[in-house]
Amino acid sequence: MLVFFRVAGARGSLALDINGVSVQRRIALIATLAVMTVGCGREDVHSYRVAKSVDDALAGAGRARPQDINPELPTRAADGARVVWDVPGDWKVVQSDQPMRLATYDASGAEVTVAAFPGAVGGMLANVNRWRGQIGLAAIEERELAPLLSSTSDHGTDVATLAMAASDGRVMLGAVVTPGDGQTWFVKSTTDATRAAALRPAFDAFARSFRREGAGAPSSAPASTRADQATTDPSSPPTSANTSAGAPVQAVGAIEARLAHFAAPATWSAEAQAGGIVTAAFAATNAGGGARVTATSLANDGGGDLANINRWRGQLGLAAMADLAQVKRSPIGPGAMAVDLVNDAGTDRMVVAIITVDGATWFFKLRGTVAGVEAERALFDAFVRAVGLGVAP
Amino acid sequence: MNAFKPLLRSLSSLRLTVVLFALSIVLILAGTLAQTEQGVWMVVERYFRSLFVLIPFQLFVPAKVLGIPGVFPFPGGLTLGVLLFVNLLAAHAVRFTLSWKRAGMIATHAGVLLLLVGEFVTGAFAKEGNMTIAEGQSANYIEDTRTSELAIIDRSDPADDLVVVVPASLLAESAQAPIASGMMPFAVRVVEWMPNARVLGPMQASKLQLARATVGTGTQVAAVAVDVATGVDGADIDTPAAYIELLHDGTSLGTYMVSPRLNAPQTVVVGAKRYDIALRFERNYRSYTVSLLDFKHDRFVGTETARNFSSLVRLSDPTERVDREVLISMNNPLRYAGETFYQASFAPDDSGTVLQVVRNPGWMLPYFSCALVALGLLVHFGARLSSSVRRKIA
Repeated sequence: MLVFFRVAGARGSLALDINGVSVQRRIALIATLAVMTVGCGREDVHSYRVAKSVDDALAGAGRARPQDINPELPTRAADGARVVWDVPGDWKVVQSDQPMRLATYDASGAEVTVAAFPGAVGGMLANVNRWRGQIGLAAIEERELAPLLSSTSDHGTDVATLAMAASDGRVMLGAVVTPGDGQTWFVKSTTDATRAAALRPAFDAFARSFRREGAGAPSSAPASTRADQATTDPSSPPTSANTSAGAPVQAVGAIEARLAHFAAPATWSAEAQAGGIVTAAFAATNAGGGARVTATSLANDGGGDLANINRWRGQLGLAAMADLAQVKRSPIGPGAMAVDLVNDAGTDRMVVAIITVDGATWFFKLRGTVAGVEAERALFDAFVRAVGLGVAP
Repeated sequence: MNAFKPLLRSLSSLRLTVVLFALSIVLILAGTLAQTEQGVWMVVERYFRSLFVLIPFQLFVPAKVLGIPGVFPFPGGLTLGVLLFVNLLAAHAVRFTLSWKRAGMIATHAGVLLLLVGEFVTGAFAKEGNMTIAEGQSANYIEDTRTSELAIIDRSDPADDLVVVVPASLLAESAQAPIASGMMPFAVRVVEWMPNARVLGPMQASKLQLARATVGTGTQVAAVAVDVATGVDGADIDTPAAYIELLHDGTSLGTYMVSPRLNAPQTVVVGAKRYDIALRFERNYRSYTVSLLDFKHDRFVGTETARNFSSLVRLSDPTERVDREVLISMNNPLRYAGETFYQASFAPDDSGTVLQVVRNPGWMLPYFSCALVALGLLVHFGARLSSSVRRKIA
């Protein structure tokens, strides 16, 4: 900048400093520099050394990370077993991407969360005081801690549960669980006093069910809440233990389980990289030009029926609808409906079955040319009935 | 020498100024609209800090109204900024003369030039990142949450760890060909790259999703792609994930799922040697260490409304013989080694703190330039006013 001002004061002498170099060469030089500058922005593989003492202290040692899932911790149980727990039959899994949570459940309107951190995480007092702070209660001293806690030790798991009432009527149920995997597990639910009182027995039993896999079921868990982990495993059918629980059997993962075992028709070929939120995708070939079949799941209501339908209408070049009542929908089962959309030109068609089940919404979509979709319709309907609705053929 | 004069004259053209302003207006409009679909920092890089940008026609018409394919090239912010800079300088070299009468205008233009320089300095040299520290833990690096890297760590040396870093830009580009380098103990083939992903816990992921990784954490938790955060999504950041296959001498070592959402590295064994791998936000190490002694998140009694956040930290820098406790709170940042540490956020359940660390050598330039422009305008219009008043009195 200074150079330019000096030059401005002595116009005509601009090229003196770089005598003998033509304007064209100067421009070429500037262009080369510009290209080099852009080229320098490209990153490549590189390496560096970092002092071990510091990095080791950080590696996996309670870093505050979202979704704190850590089966590779050095402090993991020597037998390599992971921690499992029993979910009461009437609790529903809630899809949540809240940081640090390993699982979130809806227990009749109260949210129960599970999180785990490596090590002791500051000790019992620090954790209880952190929770107290979260509901506006003052911190307590060590000597005040013991009367608050209800502690048990079973199948190698130490559990301390407590309930704390806030001044605004809320009650926080908390449990600090150490199942011996080198991590401290936290189970928590904050709800109103009435719900908390009703939830407390199931909450305590839930917290006491945490154990290392293979360590045996807790003796203290009442049989009525033994909807054990098998029911949350999509590939396993409900066991007799939980069907006798008297509470609705959890159907979480039922569609995925059926999908995993679904034998696709010969004319359908599974797409290897379904990816993203698309759980399964098939390319169907037929004389009508073929079609694509996908099964997708989203948490909760999946963004709402109207928003989804309008998105699909947009994909077919159709105008958005202002009201769901304007959309023609056909009920196909409990909590399930289908929409059939054709573009204005009458060339492309999309049939979507929307199935809402256990906190998730599934979309079974058949899309292609009008003739391709029509040719595939019967097989698609059978697919939706068998996998989506679980109706035997 | 003489050939330079016409070039300088054409560069100083007022028409060029007007055209550049018009192009800038279009670019700002396009960049603003683009933030409905892209993250703010991606837009800044692609539209405002680039030589040219390919703007989709669709940006100007809602897709619901009319679907328009294709893009058109347009000069980027860097090109327009440099041309405006050159244009203004050339104008002073050719047209303007140095005189007290024009002092106000010259000061105003100097302020504008300084503003352009300030943005260039910020774009080129400013560094911004986060330091996330759990209570009782320490950190000696800053993470840039706008970009990530695959780290391959060899811990066999008792003194140091050797870290080989594959930048996210390479991972995102390398869909087919494996990434290999003499520094890497194995080649990396990217099976799937997800610029923004969610991780499903062991009880949430389906068997199909878990089957995508053959070894490591990904067999217990799964990553699913979600839309990238856009400029209208508030403070959301993109957390990438990838399924990568590691290859050693043409043999597969398995497919791993990696993501910054997993908080510990995964171990890969090659022959008799062990390596840790982790996809993490880009790390920049520092000579100092910050330890979190206590994090406080005060709320108004009986509510969830935050009253105050504060982090009591211990700052140690053996190279500068610094070892002291500092309280960082909202509006009370720590300034050290040319960097400013702001209390930015906190880990869930108040288990740790997130400090935003900013280094910007040009942070004062916008203040100087605005002051210079204001002073210049004051002098310029003040002179005009006084001469007008003088004329009226006369």
